[in-house]
Amino acid sequence: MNRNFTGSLEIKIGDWLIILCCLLLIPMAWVMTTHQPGATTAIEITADDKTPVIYSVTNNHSVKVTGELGQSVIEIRDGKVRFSDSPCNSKVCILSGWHQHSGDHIICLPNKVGITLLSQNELFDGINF
Amino acid sequence: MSSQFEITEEDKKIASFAALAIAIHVLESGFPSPVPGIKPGFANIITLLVLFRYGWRFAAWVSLLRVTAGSLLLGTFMSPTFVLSLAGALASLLTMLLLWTTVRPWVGLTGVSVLASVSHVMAQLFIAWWLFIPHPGILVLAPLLVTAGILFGIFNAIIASSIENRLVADPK
Repeated sequence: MNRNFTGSLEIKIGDWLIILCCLLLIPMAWVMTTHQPGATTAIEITADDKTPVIYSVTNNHSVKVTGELGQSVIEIRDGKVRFSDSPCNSKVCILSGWHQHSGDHIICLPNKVGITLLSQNELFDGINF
Repeated sequence: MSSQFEITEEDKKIASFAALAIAIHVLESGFPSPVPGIKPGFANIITLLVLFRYGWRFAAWVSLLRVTAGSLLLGTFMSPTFVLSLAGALASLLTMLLLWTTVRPWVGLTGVSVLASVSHVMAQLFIAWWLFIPHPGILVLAPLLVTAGILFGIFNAIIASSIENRLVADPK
């Protein structure tokens, strides 16, 4: 039995070291989890309930698709994708900005245009029990 | 009925501390959490106290009994919740063992509590990612969980020390 322990909350050098190391772990974990390469290799665009079309993201280009309201412009640059123009009123799709993580979706509901970011190794997005 | 097993004083102590930890564990599971995975882990206060009073073997018994019996009471035995709970408990026990056997003179309650709780969340996050939600998105929770782990680790150490103070002042 350890009788040296009196219960006082004395903070020793090891405690400080541990707290410091754990605090350093926060930015490290942050960098490691948010800066991983978005392994998006292709995008799938569905416009106005028509058959989805798959586009490569390896070179920079723009794709024009016609939805229910009119023409949406989808810009592909450096493996990232965004809506750059849309005939919808709210422009939520444009304002949502660039997307790069595979499995993400960018959807313009008014114009019925949906983009899915695809990758080579498709993972489950969740398992439920 | 004469028992085949010798029930020692130590066994009784382990059982009563485990019972206390189980009660806290069950109570705590009733409170909602703002972010999945973040909870104070007050049951670990008992493990900490036991570790510092009676040593690592004792703490391992109390912690594993809490996880097993707690999950039986909550009906989560052998479910993902139980697996996560067990993984966390094992990771923090391992951390405690390492600290206890190597750098014992230089760490106090705070250090053990913080490192145990951080290893607890990291192990849980890893298991969750590996077995249940194999999507890199879940790892985004890591910084949040580590922050919570540090804060609650310090908080639990403060509570544990004040309980210990009272136990020293008024030993049963």
